[in-house]
Amino acid sequence: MKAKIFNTSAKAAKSISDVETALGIPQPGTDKYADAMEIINPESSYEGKFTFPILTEGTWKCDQLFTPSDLVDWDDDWFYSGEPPE
Amino acid sequence: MASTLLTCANTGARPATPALGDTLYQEDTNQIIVCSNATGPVWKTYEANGELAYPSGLYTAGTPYVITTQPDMHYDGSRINGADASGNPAIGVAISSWEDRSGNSRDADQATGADQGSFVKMGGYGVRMPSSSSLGFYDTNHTFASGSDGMTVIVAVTPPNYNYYAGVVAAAKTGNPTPTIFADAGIMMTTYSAAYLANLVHGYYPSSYTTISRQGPRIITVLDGDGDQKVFEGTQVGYTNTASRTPADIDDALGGDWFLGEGYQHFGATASNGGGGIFYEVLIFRGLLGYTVDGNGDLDGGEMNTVVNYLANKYGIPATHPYES
Repeated sequence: MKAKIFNTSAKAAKSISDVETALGIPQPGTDKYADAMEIINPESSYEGKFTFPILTEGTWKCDQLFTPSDLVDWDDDWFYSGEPPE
Repeated sequence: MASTLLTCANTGARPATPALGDTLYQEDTNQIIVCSNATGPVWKTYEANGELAYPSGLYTAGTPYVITTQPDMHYDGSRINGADASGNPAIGVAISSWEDRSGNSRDADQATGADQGSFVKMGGYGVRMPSSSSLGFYDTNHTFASGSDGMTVIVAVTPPNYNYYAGVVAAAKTGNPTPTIFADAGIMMTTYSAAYLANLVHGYYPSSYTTISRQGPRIITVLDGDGDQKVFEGTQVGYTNTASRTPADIDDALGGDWFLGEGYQHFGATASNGGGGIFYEVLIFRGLLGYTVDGNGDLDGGEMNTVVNYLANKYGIPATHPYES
């Protein structure tokens, strides 16, 4: 899985919209491709930026729609900060 | 070529006066039926999958695994449409709705493509969640009515390669839109894929089987109600307790929708550690499913044992010997 980093949620949303157009979404059962997600981990250099998953296999594969050098590896740690509450 | 076994079209067409041991193939249910008592007559039915029967299910009687308690929800990876294999997609295709086979029409839905699992065959058929601990879940859109005695959840799953407080099956607390804390009621897994009972007072109880191999198929059962908490791995006891639960505690814990794969983290692996978790089958019961245990505390009877043995038979998972690394 890959990701593209955006400075604003609006730019991420526009890119998601382009992906949906290319994949034929919406369609029955599937309303949207993905949501824009804010990177909240303060240890990440991308903190405060926005991204969304770019699938590289399966029904919703869409990495072919992007320039490879624009993509980075998806990192779940972007969305977690610290331990869960005890 | 004519059948080498006598056949009958349906139950009504079975022989009226069979002899003991007469064996036929029943065409409408794809079952082998054997006359076990010529008086009546009484027929035993058999099929390869040894299906589970319950009052409003696809099968209601006559299978090797029969319970009288109706599950609230039942999701079967071999029947994505909740009825038969005709609705199963091709391997690898995303699934937007995993339909309930319990007869209650409580389908598990996900309308966002990147959060959808995909159809797989890994021994049995199942739904593999995205390879991410921050993506992938299904909403059953069903909440228990207040006043329940607690919960029983039974799953056949292959855990993701790594996870951290991942929700396997979880109910959102009253007022919460999703299970977002790490111990919303249900089944949870944490580091090294140890199974946890996410209990009714928003804590957790770990299974004693903490060294189980991460990527093997497993049957996990959790039960929580007033004076009784259990985790079983197959039929082996992983945790037992007798903590009190008030009706208010139970209603608060089970006051939101049930989800598959949602929790503090999702039922998927981190991208660097391989594939996401696989759901083969999920059964959710409102209340406490009956069971008995032997002197070691291991499951040895009751309807819970029937369901566990149904799953063990169907997926070839040894019920009495959990995978251990």
